[in-house]
Amino acid sequence: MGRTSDYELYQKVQEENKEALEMLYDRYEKLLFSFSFKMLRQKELAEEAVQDVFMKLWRKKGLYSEDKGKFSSWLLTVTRNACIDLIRKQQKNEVEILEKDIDYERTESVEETVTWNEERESLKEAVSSLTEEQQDIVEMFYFKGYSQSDIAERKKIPLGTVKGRIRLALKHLKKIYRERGDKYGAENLR
Amino acid sequence: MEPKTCDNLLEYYNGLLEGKEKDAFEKHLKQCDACQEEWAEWQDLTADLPYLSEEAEPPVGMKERILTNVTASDSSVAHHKTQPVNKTDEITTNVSPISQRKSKSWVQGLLAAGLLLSLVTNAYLFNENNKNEQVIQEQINKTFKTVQLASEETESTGVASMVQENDTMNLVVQTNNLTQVKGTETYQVWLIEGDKPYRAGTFTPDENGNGAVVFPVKFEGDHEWDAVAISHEPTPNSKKPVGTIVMASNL
Repeated sequence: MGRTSDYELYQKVQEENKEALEMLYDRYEKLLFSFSFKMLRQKELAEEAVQDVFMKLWRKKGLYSEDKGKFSSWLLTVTRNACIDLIRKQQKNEVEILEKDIDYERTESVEETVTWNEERESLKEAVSSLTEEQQDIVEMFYFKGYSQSDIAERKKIPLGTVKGRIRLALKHLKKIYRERGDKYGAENLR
Repeated sequence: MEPKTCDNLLEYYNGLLEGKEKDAFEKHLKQCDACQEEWAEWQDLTADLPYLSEEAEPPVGMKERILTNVTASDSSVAHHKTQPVNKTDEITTNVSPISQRKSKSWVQGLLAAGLLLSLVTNAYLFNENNKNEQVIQEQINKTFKTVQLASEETESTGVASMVQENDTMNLVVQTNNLTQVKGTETYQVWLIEGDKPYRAGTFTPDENGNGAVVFPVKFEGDHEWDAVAISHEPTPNSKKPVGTIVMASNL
């Protein structure tokens, strides 16, 4: 397809190729930022999360290999971990917020950008088939990073049932999503 | 299998384990087949969820900030570090710490100018938005000027350099032994022209009080910078310099 694969770019980034870093950045900026923003609800913090992810990619060698699955999935996991770290730091009031003192013109990227509109629509539909409680549980567990006991307390359900409920909700979601969204399921995202 | 340790899987997944508990679980995960299987299951069950995120517009300038910080963190700053600052006498000015009295009047000057600052800066930035395009450079081209920063009251030291990269002037600041910041406190770097301070950027030092940052200097028009200063601010959002100047030097 004439498009450099994520893995090829990642390998070049490992060799400290700045051009490859920028291409990878352009490709994932929007997705990683949007995901971080959903988790952190603050643009400054979301930017910090994205920066942490690219710091890792640039500085730490050999974090990703193809046996870890798709690069995009791995990258999203790294992003979620960065967000979770910031949530924890924020709870301890240790977090520093990057300040945007200097602004630039937004440059329209020539590089292909990952978009996920169709996936989102399809996922939202799947989510709406969950009960309200299930939706809350998924939100609290995955996007807010709550502990099981926090979820039990907030939803007034026995602690011992929390894990089972999260699993059930996620399984249901995945089933509906993958059935409905087959034609643009996750496989479509490179 | 130790059921009690296995029970920690979801707390680990949500980054809720710390210290020994975390180490113990990581060790356990490597050895426990049941946990590895369950780990893979959770990864699979949650793999699609990030795509639920609504598209959010990244803040203006995020790309440049991140790419500059990421690549500066080890290459350009490290590269710069290797230049023996003391030997380049022509461009290095050893400046003794500014006197207390001077520093006070300066702070007052900053305070007076402070109210205007955000407006002025915003106006500059607004114009700048329509003009310039930041390109990530391959390497540092030329060090224009390097000054040493020192503090009268603490062990803190630092080096500030103006570095020309093609059309872009960068201010590279490295500090050592800065007092730790607490909570929302940060250090802010100012470029001073006459009695007008321009905020160049914000940083926080690492746990050893060391920090290295690169700020692109993109204020519109020609500037003859007179001095560079670092102030300790109570919050990163303070638009005017309300904190104390910890280090400064004439350029």
